[in-house]
Amino acid sequence: MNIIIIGDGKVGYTIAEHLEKEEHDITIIDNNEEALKKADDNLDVMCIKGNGARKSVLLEAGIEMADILIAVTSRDEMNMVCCLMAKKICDVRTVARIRDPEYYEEFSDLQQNVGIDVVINPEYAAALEIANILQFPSAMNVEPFFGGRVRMVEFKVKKDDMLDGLKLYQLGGKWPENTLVLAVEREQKAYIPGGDFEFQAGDRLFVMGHIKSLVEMFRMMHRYVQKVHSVMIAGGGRTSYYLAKIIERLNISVKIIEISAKKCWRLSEDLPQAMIIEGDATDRDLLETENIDDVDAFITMTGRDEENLITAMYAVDRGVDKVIAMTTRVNLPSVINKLGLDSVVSPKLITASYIIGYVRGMQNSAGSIVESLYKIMDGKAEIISFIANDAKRVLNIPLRELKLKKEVLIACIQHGSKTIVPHGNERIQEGDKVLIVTKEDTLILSLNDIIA
Amino acid sequence: MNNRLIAHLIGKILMVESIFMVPALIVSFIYREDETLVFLASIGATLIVGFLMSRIKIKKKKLSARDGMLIVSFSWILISVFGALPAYLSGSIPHFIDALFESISGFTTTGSTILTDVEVLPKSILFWRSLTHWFGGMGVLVFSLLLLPSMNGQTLQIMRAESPGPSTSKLVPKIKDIAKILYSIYAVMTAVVIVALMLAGMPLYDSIIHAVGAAGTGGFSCKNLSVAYYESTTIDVILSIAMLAFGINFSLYFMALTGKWKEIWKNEELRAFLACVAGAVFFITLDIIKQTGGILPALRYSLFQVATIVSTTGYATADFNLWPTFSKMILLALMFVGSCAGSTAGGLKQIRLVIMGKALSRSARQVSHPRSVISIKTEGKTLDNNIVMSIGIFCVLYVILIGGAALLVSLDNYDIETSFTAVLATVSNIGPGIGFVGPMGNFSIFSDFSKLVLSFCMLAGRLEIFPLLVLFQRTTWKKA
Repeated sequence: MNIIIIGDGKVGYTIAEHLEKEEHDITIIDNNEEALKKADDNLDVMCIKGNGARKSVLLEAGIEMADILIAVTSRDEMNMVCCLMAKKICDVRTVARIRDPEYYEEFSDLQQNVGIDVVINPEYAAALEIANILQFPSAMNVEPFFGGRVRMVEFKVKKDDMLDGLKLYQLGGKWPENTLVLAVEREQKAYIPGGDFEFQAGDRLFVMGHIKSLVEMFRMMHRYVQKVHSVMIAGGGRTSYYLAKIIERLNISVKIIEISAKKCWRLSEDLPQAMIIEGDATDRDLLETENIDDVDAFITMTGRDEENLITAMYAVDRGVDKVIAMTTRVNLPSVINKLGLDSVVSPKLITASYIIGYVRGMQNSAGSIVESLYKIMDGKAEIISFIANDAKRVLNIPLRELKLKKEVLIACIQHGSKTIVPHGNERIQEGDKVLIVTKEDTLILSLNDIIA
Repeated sequence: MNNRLIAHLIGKILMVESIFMVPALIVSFIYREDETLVFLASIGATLIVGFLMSRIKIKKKKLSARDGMLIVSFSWILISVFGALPAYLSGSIPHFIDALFESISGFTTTGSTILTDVEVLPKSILFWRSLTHWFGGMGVLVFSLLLLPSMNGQTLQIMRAESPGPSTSKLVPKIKDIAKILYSIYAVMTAVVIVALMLAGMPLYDSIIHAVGAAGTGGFSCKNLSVAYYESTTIDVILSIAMLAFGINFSLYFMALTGKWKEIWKNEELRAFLACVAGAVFFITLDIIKQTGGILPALRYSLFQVATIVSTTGYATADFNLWPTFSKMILLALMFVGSCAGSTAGGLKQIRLVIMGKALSRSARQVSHPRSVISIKTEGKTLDNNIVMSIGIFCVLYVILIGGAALLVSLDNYDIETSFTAVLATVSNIGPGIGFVGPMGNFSIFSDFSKLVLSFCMLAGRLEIFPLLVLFQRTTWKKA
């Protein structure tokens, strides 16, 4: 596909980096020469210096041939004008990043009147992701699939855990039904485990299952963490506002610490139920007087990565059950995980992966059957969703009898309103949605490709 | 530095070179020459060495800018060494340094020769010699990009280092597509020239030799008298136009294909190029009218000579050694200038001089208005001061290279004209210079040492100095 990206910041670059690997023709427009130079040196893309809202620049970038335009500059208004101008020139799909809550509230107007097909708000998306994690605090990360009917949780095997030293087939009778180990990350390498796979302490597991079975699984491992009732948030920015809004509905009490008096006043106006505290979140005395030891979860969301990470580590040290840190950098997570922080959320990365997912979804309508794609472990493995049409080689055969390729796994089947985490006796039927797990080097373009 | 990946990629490029030799093998077969075995041996040697190098396992895929430069320098050196094999093994050029000089002269599209009598050489050897022009012109590595399975985005570093001119503008997002577009345009234009030359009465073999020579702006001929042998005005005119056409930036042809005529007309480099050619032809015609005895022959010879020098090809229809000094000075100036960036030609490139001219006029204006802020623009876009500076540095390096090499070549004790233009003609990848190395002379008079110096000059000129400079940096050879 022909893709135009306006704005070569962290988000624009990350999107280009991923889509370039998938053989799309990408053009990046930005006014900043230095940012463009980096993209030009490292990626196989075309770079154009200029204002992406100008017709001549868009024409130079080949807007008439483009399938999709992604506006991710730092300014909302700029992104809107880019999309508006692009739509005036020709019929192209548009995606824009809109961060200001005031615009974001008029979501549908943006779609109808400004001509933005997809609006993404990084802060809101990050807040949603954090809310997801808070609802399932036992795991490091949680990802819902099929509208939340099944979830994939991520957790680490600890020393002397039930799993330590166990082989996968030995789990058979012990683990709750409807759970499936999708992938394991060990020493930066991805594994799709077979029956002989032996778990070790330090492995990061990705397990799929229904929520009840997952809860039971954590209980069996004595690692179940109670539902979160109280949350302390360091920093009172936009993400904090969205998060507070979302989790208030879940009956979780919220305490926000913010240094700027002005912001505190606004927050207290907008969030009448939350407790707003004016003060420095890096100040240990303040955290102690506000009872950091008693909260169920502590989230750092100030504007500075360093403060977020250090404060989060302090909270881990104090024994808070669930600590989540937000970062603006996109390439840090694996380093941070080593430091003992398990849950790290990056709004920019979330934005990028959301847009990448959307582009892939478009490809689907362009002919291929991939419905959406979700990358795990920095892209070392991926979860692809297919609709089982024309998949003659797999339809109506019990899964046990299918000879799958190496390192390919059927993770989940949605049949009508039922979702099944398969164990061998199930069959894929016409029209089912199927989740497939593979490693990055195995190319799977249709459901038929999973057969060896 | 990623040594393994560098070796691996160079190995693959050598394998591609062995494919280049196949047409020459076919020619030797057609003419039933004894060189068939020689070519089989050369192809085999190149293929085996390339294959062994490409078997090296890669650990990291990351390629830095410096690695890209090293790949370009080393592969050009190795390609030239292996390219010298057919002439050396067949005994056509028994001395290896001579064979290497000829091979480098071919790949860099210089066209300087050490041969005094080319007509006695086997047809297949001459064919290979000319074919090196064609691949060297557009770029051996760019061609490899076409054949090799997808390499990552960093291969742009390689392409940049190899394609002439200060900046490689991307026509389409993917490098592979760019390489395809460029080579398609190149191949079609070459085919057109072959057909035109045949229609003008040249035999097929000669047309191919001269067409690929003009396409790569190289200049090897299969006749001792070069193009003068055919004594045909039509052929002269066809080749003049062809040489000029291959001196124009290829992205302009792509624009023409996509219908962007307005932008082509506004292209400053093209305008400068055409103005340069028109001015030179006009003055030389006036200057030589007495010698040739008529305006039409004067126009014919001046057009051909200007085209051959400005496009850095090096064919000859007249011995400009015998022309008035004014005409020789104009040609000497054209030897520095060369053609457009993004073409197959050598020289400093018109665009650099256009930008330098603008920088000079800015400095002149700033003498009277020291605090004035003046931006330098080309094609309607403001140029970063760093780019202007790097172009200035390149021009200075060019002059330093010529001066230094001329000093070394002067050890052979020929006259200043010969020593200086021999270096200039090799650095600018033209071929003939003035004096003993003029259009009717050749480079066999020089010592082995001078030949090596001139070989280096050809490579430096073709790769635009910087990639070779990396070889001489001490940090390149240190770890970390």
